[in-house]
Amino acid sequence: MNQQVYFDDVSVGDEIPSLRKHPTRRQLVMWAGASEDYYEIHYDTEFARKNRLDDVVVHGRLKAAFLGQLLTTWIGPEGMLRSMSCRYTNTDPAGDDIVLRATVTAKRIEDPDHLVDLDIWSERPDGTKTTQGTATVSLPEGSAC
Amino acid sequence: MSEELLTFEDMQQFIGSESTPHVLQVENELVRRFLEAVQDSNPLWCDDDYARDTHFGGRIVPPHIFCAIMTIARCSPEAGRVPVPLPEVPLPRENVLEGEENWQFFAPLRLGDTITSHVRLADVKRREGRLGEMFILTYEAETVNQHGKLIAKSTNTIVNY
Repeated sequence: MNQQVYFDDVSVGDEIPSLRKHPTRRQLVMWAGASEDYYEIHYDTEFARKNRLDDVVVHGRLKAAFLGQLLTTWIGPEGMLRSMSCRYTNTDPAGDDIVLRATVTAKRIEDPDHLVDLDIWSERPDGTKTTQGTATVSLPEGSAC
Repeated sequence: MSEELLTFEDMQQFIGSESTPHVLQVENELVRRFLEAVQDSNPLWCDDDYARDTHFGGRIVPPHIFCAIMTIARCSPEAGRVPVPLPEVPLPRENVLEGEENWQFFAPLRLGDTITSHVRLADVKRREGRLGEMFILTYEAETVNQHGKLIAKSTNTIVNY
């Protein structure tokens, strides 16, 4: 069950709870099926090497979906994801951990919406950022307390 | 294929080209496959009893399903190996990497909705980068539901090299 987060309980600079994923090659194949993206760089090592990559890489859009999961898990059932953007700045090899993180950069009220802006990113276990972007969510007004 | 490679000037002539509308039924199996691939078990997407008691009054479809829909919308059997946002516009080079994307969400998507997306080639740039000559193609898409209500807008950029 999701705990609801409220606008007044969020401060600029806060980091939201991170999400750790471990996309295996099997999961990449599942994503290929779900998104109908059958490009071989995501499951065929030989093909990936011919494309000047070291090995198969995680789909950029699967990482974007992970960022969507990170945000929608945090905002709870009364929050709304309003926008999300990202750049795929580095590739992620299959089989490694990916950590999804976000920090609050601004809070603003655009009547009637209580909006929170965030920096969002994915990183490898060594801290290298592989996807970077921003998001805006709306939260219910008030405080849980 | 012995044709000459498309040039930057060739590609500029395609700016503004629009796709034929792409229609998609947002049915349960589509959503289930998406959730299993992402491994997202948020009860708002999965649990009828939980979702009924929220202000949505029932399960909704996660907005981030657009990360998958964008590709589904572009994968016609004719599109070939690489998922192309606009099959009507050829890619000047063979390989594709995803660049930058932006989604705006205006209304929740529900199971059973029928959505229609229009995609437009918004911009073409040419650059020299670590992969050699690269084309940066920017596409814009708009998705409405069966009532004509705006659900989402997206911009996405691919690197073609």
